[in-house]
Amino acid sequence: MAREWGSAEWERLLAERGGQLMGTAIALGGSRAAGEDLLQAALERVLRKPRQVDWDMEGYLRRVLYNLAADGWRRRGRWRQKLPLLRSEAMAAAADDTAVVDLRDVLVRLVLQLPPKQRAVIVLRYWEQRTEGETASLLGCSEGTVRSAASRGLQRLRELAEPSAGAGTQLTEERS
Amino acid sequence: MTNGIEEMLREGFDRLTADARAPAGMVSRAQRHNCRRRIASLSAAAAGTGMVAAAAVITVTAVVPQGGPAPRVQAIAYVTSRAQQALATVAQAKAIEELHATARNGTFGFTVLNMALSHQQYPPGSAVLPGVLGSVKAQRMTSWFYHDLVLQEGFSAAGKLVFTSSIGIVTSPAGKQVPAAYGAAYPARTRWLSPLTGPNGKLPKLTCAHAFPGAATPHLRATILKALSCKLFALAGHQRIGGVDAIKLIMKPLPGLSDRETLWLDPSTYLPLRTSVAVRGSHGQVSLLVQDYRWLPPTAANLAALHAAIHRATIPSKFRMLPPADLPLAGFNTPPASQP
Repeated sequence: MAREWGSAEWERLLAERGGQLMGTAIALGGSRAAGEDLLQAALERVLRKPRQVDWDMEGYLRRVLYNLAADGWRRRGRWRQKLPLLRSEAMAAAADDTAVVDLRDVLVRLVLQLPPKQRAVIVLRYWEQRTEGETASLLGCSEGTVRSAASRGLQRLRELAEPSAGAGTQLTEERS
Repeated sequence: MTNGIEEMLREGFDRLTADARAPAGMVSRAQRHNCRRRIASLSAAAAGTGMVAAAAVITVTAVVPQGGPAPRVQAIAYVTSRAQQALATVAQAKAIEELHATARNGTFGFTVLNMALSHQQYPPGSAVLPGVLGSVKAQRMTSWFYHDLVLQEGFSAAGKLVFTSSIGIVTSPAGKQVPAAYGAAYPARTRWLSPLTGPNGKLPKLTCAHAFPGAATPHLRATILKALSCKLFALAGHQRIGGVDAIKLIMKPLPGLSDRETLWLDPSTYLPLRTSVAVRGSHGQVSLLVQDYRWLPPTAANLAALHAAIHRATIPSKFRMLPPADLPLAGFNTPPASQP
């Protein structure tokens, strides 16, 4: 039977699943502060209209989270504001020959240089291990869009990461 | 170590999100943000319908007294724009404007004009009849403005009704609906009914030089709007007014006018909460006029309250009637002005 979710139910969900939700928000936002902002914005969105629910509310919150990351941030142009900062970070890391560059961290930072929808697709597909169908359903787009966004996103990451990877590191996409 | 970019991404994300935890209080913070957003969007909905605007006033009346959003650094242009928008909203909503005026070192009384003289290009002072109703003094005044109606009531310090003064539509002896000023001053046992038809009913055009909201004008909203559009105010921080962290604006000096006005805006609605004006008399003494505003939606309950105020003050027919050309205007009097 449907029941209305109030603040107590959301508090309980965050107590039980807050770590995972926050992790997703951080991955989408690129930092803990941005992730916190993103999760906060998603919570505000779902609390704005209390609704009768009889299904997975974590899924509902996640869907809002993904879509805010994919659409809302792009509309506000925040990702563009971050570009100069991130570019200089990546270039500084690449220029330092003596530093031990951890390509994994660099890659995650470079994900922020992708447009929001590509970023959301990358997080959903390659971190949350969701299928193309699930990703398309969560982001409200077609599987073809997910495929092309993932492909373009990875290609762009390769291009961006090439200076950091150095001569000895060859980036290849593993196809499953 | 794998070279696969997907695997590296996964590991990178795992490291980035390790020990992630949702901070405490996110849900309650989200609720607070939503509440503030709702209030702000309602009050800013100047382009919406009258019903939307009325809802804004209702919501603000119900929610805001506990205090508005945290103070923000704002530019005067932004504050002015929001205040103009908010005043336009209450105009669209046909809100009832309620004003409570109190004075320090001053009283509320009447300036009586002879309309026959004031209509004839005489210097303004020559039309004033200083001996008429000069003895009528109230310690506080409450005013209501709704549609074409202006109702002003003066009270003694003990709360006794001293005068009632209205401008509204009355039925003439010929059965026509005409605008008129009418009222009674109880200590002077005097009443008046002055038709405002024809040239006498025309109001002078409001200019920047006269946009002085503290003057207890019966056209407050228009006067404040004019003062804002004339860019007469400067920001002066925040100050708590009735539990609200109000935005404080101070009027810039006007040529030839030593009086300084302060306007406080509700930070949630940008509607005026209070004005105060310090008036320096001819002997250097300073009087302070403080006016508190309420912007009420025209609900059945609020209209009933206004109706009750209108009928609270009866005008006894046995009172002496002023000549129709005499027009008493209620307002704030500094001590020298109130002593002919």
